[in-house]
Amino acid sequence: MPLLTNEDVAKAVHHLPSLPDIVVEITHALNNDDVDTKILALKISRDQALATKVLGLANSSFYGMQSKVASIPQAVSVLGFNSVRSLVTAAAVVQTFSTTQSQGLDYTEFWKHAIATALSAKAIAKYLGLNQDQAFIIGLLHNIGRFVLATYLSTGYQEVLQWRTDNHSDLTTAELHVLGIDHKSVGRAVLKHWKFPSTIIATLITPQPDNVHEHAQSAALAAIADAIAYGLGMSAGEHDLVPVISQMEWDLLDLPEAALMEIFASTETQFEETRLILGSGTENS
Amino acid sequence: MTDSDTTKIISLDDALAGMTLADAILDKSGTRLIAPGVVLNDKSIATLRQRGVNHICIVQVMAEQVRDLVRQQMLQRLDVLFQNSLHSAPNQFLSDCLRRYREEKNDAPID
Repeated sequence: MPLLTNEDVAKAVHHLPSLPDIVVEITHALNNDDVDTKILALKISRDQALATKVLGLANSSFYGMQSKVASIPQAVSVLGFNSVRSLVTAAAVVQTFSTTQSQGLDYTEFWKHAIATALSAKAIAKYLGLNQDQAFIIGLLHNIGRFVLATYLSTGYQEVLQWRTDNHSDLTTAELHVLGIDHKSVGRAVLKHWKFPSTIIATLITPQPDNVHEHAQSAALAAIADAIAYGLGMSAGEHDLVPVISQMEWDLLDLPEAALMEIFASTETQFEETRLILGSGTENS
Repeated sequence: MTDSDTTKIISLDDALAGMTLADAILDKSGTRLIAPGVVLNDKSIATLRQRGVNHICIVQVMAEQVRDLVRQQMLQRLDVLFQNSLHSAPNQFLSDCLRRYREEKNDAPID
């Protein structure tokens, strides 16, 4: 199988389905102080499928609210616009790709793992006092490049899976060997195309001793959340393996055992509920 | 199966490797797929699923034995998941924490 080039990636990214307009709008609103969140809340409300999922999450154990949130404007006022934006983005990404099918990648396993990683990332952020909404999105999207590789870019992703099985390797090693590119590179191209902020795109750059970038801690958070989601066995994939965590990534978070126990429990507790609310492509077991 | 054991019909979705079949499993034409007394494994459970079997009758063992079985399977699963990464100290630590987490959860009183 010929190796993939950056041109192949760029072409494939332009053929991706568009995210709903409202996601583009709220992503642009990130650095714009003049945005009227009331108008955006009304726009979100008009997309009933999205609004239902957002309210489902707002009322789930995800936030553990005492009283019920009945509308998107109320969710904005109770949870804050940033939280609602994060929920809309999560629901939209899963909704946009949940009916996609191709040979090779098991999409049920894929979304189970993505959601487990998102919940684990959120729990880590809570412990460290970091932005939980952003961590959730980082976790959810950490493998989006793999989804694109398997779906839009490579007719040979089965070859990647076979190589992984034959060599008892993890998927990233297999991707690099068979395709010459790994899912993180593709993921960065996808998130750039969708105009996600650099704070999220940079989490797909693995921190190295000679490249401790500005967002290295968030990148380490994504990597450790990924490992925890695999370690908890949430996706239940036959060939799942926990990827290697570097000492550097670990030291950037330095999570003690007591914190890990809370993160494991929180991830497991919220997993089924979140998976059911987020929807269709993730609900087959 | 001993005199003190009882049997129970369960959904195949709840079947676990290590459970013992109390009755033979027959396909739609009456052909015996698996004999009673056979201990299920992941492969035989998958085969039954493929053959459209929805329920099975198993030998019901004491809660303690089920607990041991579940604990054993969870720890074996961790061994598999971490098989390529224990050379890394963070992975070793994460694996140790997950083992303790599983054991504590498994030892918690049953509601």
